[in-house]
Amino acid sequence: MQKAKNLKQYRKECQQSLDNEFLRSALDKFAVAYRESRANAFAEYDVQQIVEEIAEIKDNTSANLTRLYEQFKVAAEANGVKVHYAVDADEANRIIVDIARKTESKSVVKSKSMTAEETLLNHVLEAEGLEVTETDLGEYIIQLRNEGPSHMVLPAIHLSRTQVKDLFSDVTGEKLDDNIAELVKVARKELRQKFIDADMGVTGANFAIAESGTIGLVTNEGNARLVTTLPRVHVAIMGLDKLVATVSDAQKIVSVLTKNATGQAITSYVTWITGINENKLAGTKPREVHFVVLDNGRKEMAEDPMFSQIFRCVRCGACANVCPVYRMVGGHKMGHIYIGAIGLILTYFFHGTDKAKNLVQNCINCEACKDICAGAIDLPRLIKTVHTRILDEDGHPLPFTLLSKLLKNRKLFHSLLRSAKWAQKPMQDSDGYVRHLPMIFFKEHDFKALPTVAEKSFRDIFPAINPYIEKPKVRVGLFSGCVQDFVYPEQMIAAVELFAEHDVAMSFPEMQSCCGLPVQMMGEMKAARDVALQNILAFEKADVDYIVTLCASCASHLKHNYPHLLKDEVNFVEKVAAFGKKVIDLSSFVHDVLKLDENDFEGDGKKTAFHSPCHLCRGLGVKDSAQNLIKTAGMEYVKAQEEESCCGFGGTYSAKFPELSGQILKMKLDNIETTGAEQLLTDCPGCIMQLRGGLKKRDSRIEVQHTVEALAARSKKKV
Amino acid sequence: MLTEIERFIDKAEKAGAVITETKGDEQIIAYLFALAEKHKKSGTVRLAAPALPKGLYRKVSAECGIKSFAFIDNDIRRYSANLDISLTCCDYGIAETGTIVLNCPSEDLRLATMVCDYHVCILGKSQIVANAGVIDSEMTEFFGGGSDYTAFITGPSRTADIERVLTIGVHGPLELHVLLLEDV
Repeated sequence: MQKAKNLKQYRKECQQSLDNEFLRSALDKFAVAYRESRANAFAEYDVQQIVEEIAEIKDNTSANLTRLYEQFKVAAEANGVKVHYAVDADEANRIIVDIARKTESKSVVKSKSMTAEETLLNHVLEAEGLEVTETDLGEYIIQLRNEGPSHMVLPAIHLSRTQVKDLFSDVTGEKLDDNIAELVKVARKELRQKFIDADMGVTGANFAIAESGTIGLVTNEGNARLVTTLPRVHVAIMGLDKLVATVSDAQKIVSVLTKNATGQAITSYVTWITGINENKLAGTKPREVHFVVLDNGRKEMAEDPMFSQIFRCVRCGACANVCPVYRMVGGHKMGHIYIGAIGLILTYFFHGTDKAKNLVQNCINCEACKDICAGAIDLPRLIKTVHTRILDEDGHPLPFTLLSKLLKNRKLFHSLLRSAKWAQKPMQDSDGYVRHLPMIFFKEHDFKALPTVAEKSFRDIFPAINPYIEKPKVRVGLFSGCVQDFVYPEQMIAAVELFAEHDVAMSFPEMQSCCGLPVQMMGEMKAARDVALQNILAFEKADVDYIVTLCASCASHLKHNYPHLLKDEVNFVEKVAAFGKKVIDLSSFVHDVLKLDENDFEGDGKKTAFHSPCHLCRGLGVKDSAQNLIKTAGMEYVKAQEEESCCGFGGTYSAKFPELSGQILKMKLDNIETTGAEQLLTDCPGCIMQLRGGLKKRDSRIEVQHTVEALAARSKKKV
Repeated sequence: MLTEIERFIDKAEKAGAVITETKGDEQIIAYLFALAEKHKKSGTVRLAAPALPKGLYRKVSAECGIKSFAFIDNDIRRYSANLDISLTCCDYGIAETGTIVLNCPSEDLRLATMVCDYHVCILGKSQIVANAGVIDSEMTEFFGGGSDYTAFITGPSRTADIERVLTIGVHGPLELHVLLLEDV
């Protein structure tokens, strides 16, 4: 649950998680094990196709919400079930309290329901004097501790067996051992009696089938089966988003849900309930079944052109499983009730700005969630949009506003960057790092050494080094991005050298500016649009086949975000599409366009690891071009563990959450050092800044270079 | 290529079920009672079998008499806290996931699959289908009957809620035994 009042307090809470050794090691192990079991579960399947099917099924739900609800209600009520529509959480809780009163229920057993967590149903029932027992083992444990879940599928993942032992010892009044199998037996025995004694069973639903009025429940423990069978009254609470048209749709969701959640082909139990089934307890009081269907903002969401895709969420929790930030801080800091990437978004819609305003900033934009999502939800974009909406509601903080204004004025921005090299002088080390970069947003950055601004920017160097190519094979426009333009011009120079040797004619349109990703990351969409337009115009007149950038983040932003940013600029739609088509990252250009091979290089067998930037492997879907080039150029490629996981930079993220950024970096560097590599290559200057700074801090000998520098250095010179 | 039956066996075993091929009632009974003996605790063994075909029902109940087991065929609710073993028949087997499909609107049949420590279920080889999609129309038919409870069961009850350690038998059966019946 989120109680932090401001970002500072939220950061402090995150730090507490970082200091929790058990949590850190549990989440580390989980992150690694999850990827493997998920990959195994999907081994025989075409994941992309399945994900598209789920998206289609759920898009059908959001598009036909009212019709599906009506159909579901009619079908269920024809079978004797009472269907209730609850506009918000309070109304849902009131309906359920009312059912409890009318049926004279005293004790309630519950199986896990995120929707009931969303409405905080337990508190309301308990205030009514009902005894409520969570029967899912994890939920039972956190209920005993008065906590919320820290994961949608594994609610007690933050707790150790010792903590569970202590809790259960209190419950049973016996001194128990911390043997997990024994602890599970204790829960089995304690809870079995609760099932038998309960008057009312409350469940959620994983889907509600409109054509037959059936609900489906997916569990491993089998508690939902007991909850729906033993008590006299059954209440199922579900969000409107759980509606699907047919049983076949529901089957498809089961299949992807279990694989994506836990890497299981299917859970132990999938239970399909229609109408009012036999209950021998009923006697004089009849069996009652109620379905409470919750809106709580979902209808509005379904009608929103951007946010309707949230309906594709099947609540598998995978977006948390792969999130590098979740791995650091756990669910209590990475959500209010709903956890992970989807949690950041849902918190805003279900629980309001106040709960969401800090959380929503804690996204590093690595796109791991988008990549794993069972419904292909563009989670990073939605998180950013929520962030922008909150800024628009609450007002934009001054430094962000200043930077936005600054970026709009390219000349002023660039002259400021040029003059920064003077301002930093007093703090500069002899080896080209600064201890404290004189910028307001780089304050608590002591986990890595930061580079200085270069003597001369690439834009000032290029005219003098631009080679004359007599018979160009291909013409490219260079897009440098701020970091390579002003901090690492040598990387651009290496590209110019390599390209010149392979008959690539180059130009550098002067009007280009920052790609705009940093301001978009701050939620400053207006500024992001302005620079996008400026860059499109800058390249409009350049007669080039490709626009090459050495920064994977720039490439991914130019290619994929510009069409979104500029979708309302009617006159630009075609230009944006043409621009995006030409954009290509360095490795893909060298690998797929220039098609360089072993004969173009003189290798030295240097042991080389690669860090695959988020926006290269996921943003652009480029999975092995750079790695192939390393081998082609005669280096010895060694694959690091978790090569595709984030380095913790995330642009302005590392300035906003330096503690988290530092820890994510540490994990990355540990994996790199384990390979025994002498050099580390990557395709993004931001990653280079982060990795180089981190390695320097730990006095490592591993050299970090841009892939292009390593290629240029090994390129056979033409005679 | 595995046949659907081989695939079912492979997937069900991977999910932790115990699969045994059987030829008829005698073998089923021998298996059931051997299992009950193996896990016998102090006190009378309670065996539930609420919905068996007549012939098998008679033989199981007779054998319970001989072994002095309590034979329970209704009001299973009364034994919810303490039921040792159950024998049921299911409707389909799904090869893709090693799942058994049990249509169980009757409370007794439902509980027999939930509250016992050991669940033994008979599946005819002819009832095995490739994947869940194949029985969509049969499912729709189940759901169309006014009230229905259909269970997909894959392996024993499991949890990983404490330190992600896979632990068997948290709420449902500790073991699931599927007896594959030669009926083709």
